Order: sequence, then C-alpha cells, then structure tokens
Amino acid sequence: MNDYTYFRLFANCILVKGALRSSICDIQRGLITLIPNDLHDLLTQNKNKSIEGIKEQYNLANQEIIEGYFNFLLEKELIFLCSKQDLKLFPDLNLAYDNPAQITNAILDFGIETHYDYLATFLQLENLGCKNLQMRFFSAVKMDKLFTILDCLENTRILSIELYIKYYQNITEETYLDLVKKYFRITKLTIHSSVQNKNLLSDFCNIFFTTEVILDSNHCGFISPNNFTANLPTFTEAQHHNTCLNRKISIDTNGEIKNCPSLPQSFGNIANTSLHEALLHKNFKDLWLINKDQIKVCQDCEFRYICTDCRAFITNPTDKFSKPSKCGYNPYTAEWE
Amino acid sequence: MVLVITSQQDFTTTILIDWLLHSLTSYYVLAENDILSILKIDIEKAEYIVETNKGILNLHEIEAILIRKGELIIETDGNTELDSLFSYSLRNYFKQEVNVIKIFLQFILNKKKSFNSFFTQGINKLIALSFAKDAGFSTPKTIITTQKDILHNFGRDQEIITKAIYEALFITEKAVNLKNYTSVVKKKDLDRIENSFFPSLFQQKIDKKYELRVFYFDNTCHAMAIFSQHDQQTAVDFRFYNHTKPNRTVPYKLPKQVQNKIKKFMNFCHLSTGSIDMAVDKDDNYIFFEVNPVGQFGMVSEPCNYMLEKEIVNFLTLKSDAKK
Repeated sequence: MNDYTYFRLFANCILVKGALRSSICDIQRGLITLIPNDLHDLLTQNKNKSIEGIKEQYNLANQEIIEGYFNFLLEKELIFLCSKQDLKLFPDLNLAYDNPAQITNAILDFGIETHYDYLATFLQLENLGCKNLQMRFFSAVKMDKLFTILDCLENTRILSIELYIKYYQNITEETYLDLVKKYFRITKLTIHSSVQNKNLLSDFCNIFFTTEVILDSNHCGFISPNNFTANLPTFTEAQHHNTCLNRKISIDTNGEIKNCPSLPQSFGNIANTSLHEALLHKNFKDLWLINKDQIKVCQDCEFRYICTDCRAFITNPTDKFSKPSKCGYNPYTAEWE
Repeated sequence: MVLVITSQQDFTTTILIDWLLHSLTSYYVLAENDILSILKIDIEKAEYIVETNKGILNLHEIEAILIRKGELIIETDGNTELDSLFSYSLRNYFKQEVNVIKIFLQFILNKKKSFNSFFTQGINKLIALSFAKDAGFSTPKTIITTQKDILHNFGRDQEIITKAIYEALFITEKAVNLKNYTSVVKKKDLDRIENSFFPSLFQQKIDKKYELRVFYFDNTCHAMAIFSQHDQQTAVDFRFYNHTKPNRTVPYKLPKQVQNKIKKFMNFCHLSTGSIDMAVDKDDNYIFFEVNPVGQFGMVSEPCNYMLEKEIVNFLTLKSDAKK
C-alpha cells in the first residue's frame, strides 16, 4: 500500500500572492479562498516535500499551526494527499489563452441621434467571431425600433445580448417578459432610470429594474467583488491580456469605433469605416496587452486574475498603467473603501 | 474544404467550426437531417457529386473529414411509384442498393485526412476488454450470465457492479427519462434476483484512487484525472454529476508505459481516436474500463485547458500529406 504523505494543490486551485494576503483561486468551482502570505510561501516553497518533512522545519508550536493549515486545505478540497511517486503525474494547469474569435465581445451604445446600418454591423461582428454583445440605450427607445434591431440578430452567431434600456412608464412588465421570451439571446435585461429597484423573474433571463440613471457610458468601470469571475477563461486571459478590453470592440452613440465607448480615441466612424478596418489600425490592440501585472497597485492585489479592469477611468489619466479609479480596494491594507 | 459530419445539437461541433472559421477553412456540414441525393458517381473518373438542400457537393473538393457522430444519409425513395404487392420488399431492396452507395462514398471519404472514421464509431465493449488485456492492461474481472447461482459465486468474495453491455440506455418518453448508470449490486439485490434472468454483465468493483479519462488523437494521449471518490454520489459512476460541488478534474501525465499500452490497444481496435475510461486503483494499477470512439473530448479539453478543438482543426487543415 502507498503512503499518502505528500500533497498537491488541485491544478485548478491556483495561488495568487498579494501584498498583505494571498488567494487560492478555485477556477473550477468559482470560489476564492483567502490565506495568509505565510501559507502561500509555505505551499510554493515546499511543493515536493512531505507534510511531515515540512513540519520538521518548524518548532512544536508552529507544527500545530501547519497541521491546522493542511487540515483546512483538505477539508476545502483545495489539496489532495498522494505518494511521492504520484507528484510527477499531476502537472500544473497550462495557463495559455487562445480563442478562435478575433473579437469576443462588443459594446454598442445608442442615443437619440444614433443611426447606422445595424444589420451590416452585426454581420461584421459575426465575421469577427463576436459571440457576446452589450447594447445600452441611454434614452427611451421605441419597442418597434428595438424589435427591428433584435430581429437583425436572429440567425447570427452572436449568442448573448446584455441589454440596458431606459424605463418608460407606459411599457408594462408583460412587455419586458415577452421581449426576453421572444429573443432568447437576451441573457440580461436592465431597465435603468426606473421608479424602483426590482427584480423580475422569468424563465428566460432575469430582468432588473434599477433607479440608477444611466445617461451615458460613464456609469461603467466599477470594480467590485460582485464582478469577480473565478473561471478558467478569465484567469488565463488575465495572465496575458487586459481583462476588460482584450478582443473587445465598441461603437459609441456617435458611431465612433473605439476600444470602449468611454475612451477618447476613435478608430473611425462606422458610417465610413468597417470594424475590420478599425481593428487593423496599428494602435487598436495596444490596450489589449496591458495585463494586471503591469498595472500599478493591481499588480500587488490577490484578486488580479479574477477581476475585471478599466482603462477609461483611471487614477492618473496621464499614466496608462495607473489603477482603475473606481476600485475601492487597497491590497496593502486588505480593506475595501 | 472540410466535411463535418455531426449530430444536430453537438456543442463541440460549434467550437470546432469556430476554429475552422478562424483558420479561414471552408467547410460543409452534414447533420442527421441533411439527406444526400446522388447526382453522379463515375468510378473510372473518380467523380462523386451529390446534392443536399445546402447545395451541390463535389467530394473531390473535400480535403479532410471531421466526424463527430453520424453517417451519410442517402435519399432512398425518390419519387418512385411502387406496385402495392411488392412495395414493402422493394423498399427494403432499394435500401440495400443505396446502402452499397453509402458505404462506397464513406470509403472514398475515409481515404482523406480524417478525424474519426465512418467505420469505427461503435465498438463491441467485450472485444475492447479483450484487446485491452492483450495490450497489457489490467481489466476488472467480468462475467456475463443469466444464472443466479453463477452470479452468487462471482459475488461471494468481492463487491460487484453491473453496467450496460452495449451502451448506457437513455430514453425519454412523455418527459420521463429512463437511464441506466453503472450501479453496485448489493447483497439484497443478489438475494432478491430471479433464478434466471436476462443476459447481464457483472464486474468486480474496483477500489479506485481516481478515474482517468484519456482522449487519444493523432497518436497522442491527453489525460485528465477525475477525483470521483471524494463524493459518495459519484463514487461508482461520475455521471451522477454533483453540480453544486463538481468532482475535481485536473490534467494528468500518463506514465510512458501506460501511453504505450494505449497506443497498442488503439491499434488493435483500428481506432485513430477515442475516449478511454480508466482508473488507477489503490495499488497503483491502471485498470481499463472501456473506449468510446466518439467521445465527448470537450469534457477533457475544457477543464485541462488542452484546446483540443484547436489542435484537431490544425491537424485537419495542415496542408501536408493526406492519408495515402
């Protein structure tokens, strides 16, 4: 029989060291476990040692703490025990990122004046491989105009639509329920500028009424634990790319093609530039490569590979590597504002 | 052009097609509702032209085939008026005539560079077990019997399980599902059973350390360990998925000698690709259970970040030597 005195972290439970504490990102089950940096170091420095062997390096009082650590990790199913020969059978997860799509997601903003060839634009997005779309209507939109736009998306390879529309008192809840029933690509519907906060449940997608007034793209860019995504696509993408802007394309209310509607630089107007042409602009992909390891403060944060980013609202507008200004977390004190 | 043969709602196929689009490779999809009409087969000139509602397809233009599941389906009836006296027999006869054409076209397509094959989509599980033994694997002790006393003897000194001999059953009637999972045969089952029963397979229950799912493709093993033993619900059959706390699934590096056994086994079975179910027991033996030639490799690719879909498309679109 074997002696299971060695351990391995499950390959999808990955240690991320922060300034004050560390996290174990469980990107299979989507859970985050916070641990002291001491434990992080202990686990990384003693990867191939037996638990007994690790304990022997410490005095009696600390041995008990270490015993406690390992029991905690076992109970949480973050590590498993194995024999010495087993260690080489369990490699680390490959953290490479790739995706068959040139563009994975897009933001389209609509104001009163917004008007362009939606069908042609959706086809361009489809050709770029885009699967996820966010559409934000800042002013009230007529239902029949909305239908016309959504109809253009039927039979495309665009799979999910996150929709923001403005509250309008004459539109009944039934209408919204019918909308998400008819267009099953809608995965999230938010009604902003509403008279009350309310969630409307539907079999198709959840509908959120919020009193928040969303008049323009400035509402975006908030960093909060609610937006943490501990999964494999995000974690691997975050190793190499910007977690908000990588493979994103946007069209603002004036038809300007941008990385994000809140950023100043335009790469042409959709009226006379194709998305493909904009993508070929030599600077279009610049921000895609700014990952959290390059961003000040974020680089010391234990949440850096599960967090979204924002390059539009940053603490120092002259430094493209500065921290998102709408993030209230301080990794040096481990406190949220 | 790559010809894709698939069942209609196969999620993996959509990922494969995303990669085909990415590599700017043209493709033609045949699902189970795409019926081929034969326009022309000229054996001497090697011309094979068929038509579906998606348009004309000249098999000459196909450079590679990607089979997820399925076969060519050829129009049998046409508009032929049949004499009522012979209509039943004639229809059967026509089916046989058309079947020869189908197999011939599949034979022609199978010569191209291919992922999976038209001819090895099902494999006899019992033959597979026997090949696995020949390749040097440990296999669970297995019997098939109709007799209670023989079963009793088999179950005397060991825990046993029973599972499908063909494939796991999955029927839906009036929104009710009927499935058979691998299940433990308990003492009370042994007592309760009739003296004689339908031919059934019984197998020694393996004391698993963890299970392995190995996707074999292009002479390479891509393995994943499944820690199904930490959870009572999944210990015997991990397809009793625990969705709130899924089994741990991690990349696994098979020892060289186990990889060689798998290669040997796949050659015995004439399989170029397949998903192999195995386990490592408490004494570190690698125990072979079964192979599924049209396995769901997505369930290995995704958690292990192997990007197998991309590799498969790369393999098919590589301009080098087509299979002789």
